[in-house]
Amino acid sequence: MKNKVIGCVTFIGLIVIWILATTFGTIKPIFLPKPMDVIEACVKMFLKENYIHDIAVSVQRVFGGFFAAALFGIPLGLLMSVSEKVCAVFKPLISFIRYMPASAFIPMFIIWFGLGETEKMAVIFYGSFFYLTLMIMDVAKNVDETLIEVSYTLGARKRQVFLKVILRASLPGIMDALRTTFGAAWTYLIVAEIVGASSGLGYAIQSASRFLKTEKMFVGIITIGILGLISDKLFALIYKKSFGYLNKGGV
Amino acid sequence: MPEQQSHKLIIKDISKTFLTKKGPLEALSPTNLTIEEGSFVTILGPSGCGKSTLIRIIAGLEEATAGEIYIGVRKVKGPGADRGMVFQNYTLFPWLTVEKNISFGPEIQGNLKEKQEYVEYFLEMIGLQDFRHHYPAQLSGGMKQRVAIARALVNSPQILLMDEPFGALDAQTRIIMQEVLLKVWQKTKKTVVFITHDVDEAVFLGDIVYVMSARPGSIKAEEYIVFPRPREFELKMQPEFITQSRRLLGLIREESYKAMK
Repeated sequence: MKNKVIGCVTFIGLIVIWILATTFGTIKPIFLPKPMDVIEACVKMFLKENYIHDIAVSVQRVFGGFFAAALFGIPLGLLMSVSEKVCAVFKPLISFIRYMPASAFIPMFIIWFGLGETEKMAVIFYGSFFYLTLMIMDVAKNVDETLIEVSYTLGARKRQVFLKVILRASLPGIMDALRTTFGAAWTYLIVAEIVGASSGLGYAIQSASRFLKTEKMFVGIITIGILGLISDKLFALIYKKSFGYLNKGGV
Repeated sequence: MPEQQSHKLIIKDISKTFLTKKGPLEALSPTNLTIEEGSFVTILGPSGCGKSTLIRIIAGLEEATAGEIYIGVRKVKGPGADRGMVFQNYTLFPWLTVEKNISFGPEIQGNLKEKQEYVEYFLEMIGLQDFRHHYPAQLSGGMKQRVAIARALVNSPQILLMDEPFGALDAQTRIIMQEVLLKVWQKTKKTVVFITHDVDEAVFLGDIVYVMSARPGSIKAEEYIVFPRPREFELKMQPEFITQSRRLLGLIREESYKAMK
């Protein structure tokens, strides 16, 4: 509880400095807008510029791309952890590809998929899939070896050990990996939207930049921050509800 | 009348050499042992003498370089529910309650219905009925190991293998656990193979203590422990107990020194 208060104080302190700097300082609004102007811009964007549509579009893209990455990444990562053959086939490739940045692929994706939703989701998928797969593999490989051994001595077969022990023991780690990569997915979303989009948060920031509307850019950036925070808290809540057995307090 | 099938544990010429980067490492030189059904055997040895390797081979978790393990006339291949194992580190499934941990074996073998009474029986025997819905994270070390013992026994194994199961517990809890284990053993009469480096523990629990030599491990001595059962904690204070422990301590000290060289 006490730490939460400290965290809030940091936030408030930052806003106070912001207010002071823009009120009494000599910073031009084009570099740093006043908080009040940002709030004003925000209200205007919601009321007159259909900002909620931009938010909805972005959220949809990030969920779509990330969902696809998880849908393929989790099973592949798990398979790679239990089968040396599957690992041998995919690991070198994945390790190589993940160093080729998603942003570098955007022009390519535009040629392949056009400027529509598929291309945005492809960027997010590409940006998160490979990392996620490797993280899932590591999680499953790090399942306590003695848990696996004891299952065999209790009469479990290989398949049962995988489904009832390795998979089950990996769940908290999988959740952690999803949480981490979801943060990255937001980044790729914005990159994709800045490069070639006609809606979404990245697009909003980019078009505000063209007209030097710094306060609007701030609205966009802060919105992303808040959405990221909400999704992170949501992950934390699911984790707490699902894996309460890991604490002394129990479920 | 057909002869009752024996579940004698036979360890025949078992040896183990690990291939390491620095070349082969002989952990266990050819070892022979016959362990009678229903007996409580302790294997005492200095750390790194290959005693864990031996029990892991019996469990089927490790492959022997040479030699065979038999239970009665049946040759052991790989791990199985007929040899329950309790490890030194805590191996309860953290996502399962005490009760579900104990019924893990029957559950995966699909005979939980028939075994439900057994689950209850062992829950009561280890004194954790009131903790049946608790998760492992909420238990003390001693409780966790009691659950681990119950979980292995509920499968009705022929042999219970214990690899320094009380090694991570504090001295007081350890003594209590030894008594609990003896009580459980007296009721179930399973063959127990118990690994330890603690001389007192080996003498207090076992019918026979086998002393292992430093690496490469082999059986160096065997000592019959004739103290009557049921044994209780007070036994540890009696002169005969102390004399026997001392003699074994002398033997194992020699080996420990060798191991340090």
